[in-house]
Amino acid sequence: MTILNTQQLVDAELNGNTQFFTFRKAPNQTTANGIWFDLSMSPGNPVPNYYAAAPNVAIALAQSTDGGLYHGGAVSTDAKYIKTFGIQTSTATAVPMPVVVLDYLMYYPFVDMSDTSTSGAAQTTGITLPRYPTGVGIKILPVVVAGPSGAGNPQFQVVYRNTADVQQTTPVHYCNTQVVNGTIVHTSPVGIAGNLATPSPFLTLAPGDTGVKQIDSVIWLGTGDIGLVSFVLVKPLMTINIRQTTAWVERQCYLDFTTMPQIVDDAYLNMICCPPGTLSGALITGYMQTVFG
Amino acid sequence: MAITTMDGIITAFTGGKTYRSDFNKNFLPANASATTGIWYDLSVGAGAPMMNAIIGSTTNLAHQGISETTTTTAATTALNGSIATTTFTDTTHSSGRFTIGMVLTGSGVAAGTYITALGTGTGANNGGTYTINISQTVTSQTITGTANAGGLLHGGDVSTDVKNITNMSVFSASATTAPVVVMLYDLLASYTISDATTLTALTFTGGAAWPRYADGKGVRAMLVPSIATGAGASSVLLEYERPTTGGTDTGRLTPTAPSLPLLTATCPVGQIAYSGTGVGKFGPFIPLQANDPGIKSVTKITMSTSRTSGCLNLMIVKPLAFMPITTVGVASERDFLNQLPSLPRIYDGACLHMAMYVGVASLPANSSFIGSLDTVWG
Repeated sequence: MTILNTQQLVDAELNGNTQFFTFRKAPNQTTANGIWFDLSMSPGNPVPNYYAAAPNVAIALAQSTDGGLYHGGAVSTDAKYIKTFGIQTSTATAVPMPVVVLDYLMYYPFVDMSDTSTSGAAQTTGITLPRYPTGVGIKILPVVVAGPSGAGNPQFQVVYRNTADVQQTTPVHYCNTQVVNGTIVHTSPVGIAGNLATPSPFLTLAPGDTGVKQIDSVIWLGTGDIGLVSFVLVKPLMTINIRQTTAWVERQCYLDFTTMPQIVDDAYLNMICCPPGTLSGALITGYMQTVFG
Repeated sequence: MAITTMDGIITAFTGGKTYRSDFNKNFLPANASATTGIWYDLSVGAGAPMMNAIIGSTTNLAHQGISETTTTTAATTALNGSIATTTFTDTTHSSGRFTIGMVLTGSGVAAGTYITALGTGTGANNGGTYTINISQTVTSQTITGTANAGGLLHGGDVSTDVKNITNMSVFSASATTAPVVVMLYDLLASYTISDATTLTALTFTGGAAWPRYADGKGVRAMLVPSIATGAGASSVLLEYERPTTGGTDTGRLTPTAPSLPLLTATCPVGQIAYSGTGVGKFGPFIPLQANDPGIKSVTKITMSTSRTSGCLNLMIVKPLAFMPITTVGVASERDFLNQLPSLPRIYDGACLHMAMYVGVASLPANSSFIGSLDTVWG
């Protein structure tokens, strides 16, 4: 069953079909303006995620095993939605800052940036997408897990399977120069002349592709770099924009910017953000209320 | 059917009839010192989705209807293409026009190869060279280029349902990128105008109804270079047919008062060629005659002065939404249901792109504009 109208939304809450959870992230990483950052790797509550697993072998993420923003247990055959989301920070260097809430589906750990073999670093996918099996809307998020040198803007491409199970190759992406863990490696406030791909926050896919089902390999061009990157398959759910330190930003997903983002059972939820400066020492707090019916 | 109630919106969202599109467009690389008061078409810029490589790729003056899945091709003659490191050479040209953003294929051509810049190539000239993104060696092959329309994804075709935009947001973290105004539009068609010297009326060919908004209501036109124009500040006179009114709807002309639109001499790629401040400057659209509600078809275009080089493109568009960005880092957000009730409709096949009005004195090249678009249908 899904919530189909206002009455059912109200009834769901009156019947107690709701969960309220608060979070606090306290990044210790030194970040820079316009470079997207993965808050799932920051200290606080929920506990940090380190993308630690056997290199180049896909592994799923789930609330039951890995945590993330708590949204309540499985509700099937009902459907669960984000009803209210609020976030704030009192740290001046963290505002204004867009934040995107993601369902992190699975990741390919510790891809070595120094592997410049022509065929690329092969990735093993022995599992299917744990949620959103069609791959529609699934994005690739490359996250630094062991700092590169940050020099020379290394370039890479990802070979993946699209929603039709056709193998495709992304355009060439350039790495930024930020080296801290949690950096989304290809993002930047400014692109590089001659690079037609995007600096943020997800990899550009081949023309016409609407999503990703798995990654087959990662090709580092030229001389590569030192460092390790985990490639994460994610589903964006909602965006919320922190504007200033003096007020909460709160969103009723039913009424404000109506989206009713659905949370699939056992989803691993966390956030990425695009800070205007350093997040080191910043305190980002918030809450989420879910409703199901 | 269409969504007519709040409950209908909820049903559509919870029923999965919704799509979120995350996008990023880079401000144009050739406009390192973007001038305040000028409009720029971001469809020819880098980013995600990839750029619109179709404009400038078609036969001079020929109608090219555009949907989100439209592609055009260009090719060398058999075995007359080659690649040496990052230079593609079109030794003998066969068909179409090579453009920036075209994906190249051929025996031995690396997957994901595309054109990033023009060298000596102007699209169809023998011996023309083009810069590509992946260093490689390919000798004596037939090389084909495929241009995609690009465009923000919006969830595919949904007919018989009706799709609407519910939310949109856009921001930039790059320095001196605000204030600007972003316009979202549906690109309906384009006409390559590679003839830079003829001063008599150029007649468009292959006329066909627009793939969407066939009645022309709300449809507008703008001129954008796909190859930077050389010297020659020409005025522009467009002859068009307006939507059916019961009167004389054909032979409508760009008004001469207060002035015909005046092209900027040496106009860079992506800059809307007559936009700016001063006499003859308009933006973003070519002015229509008083009370004309749109453009149903275009007939001819006349330039008053020849240009030394370059390729212009007449782009036929339907504007959908405007997003003002006031401050760097602060997102401009629009709730088209509750905040500005309008729910702009997106037709099946819509090819969504953006243009930008620059209000800051110097907007850096390649600045990144990031955002998202939510659609719902029912």
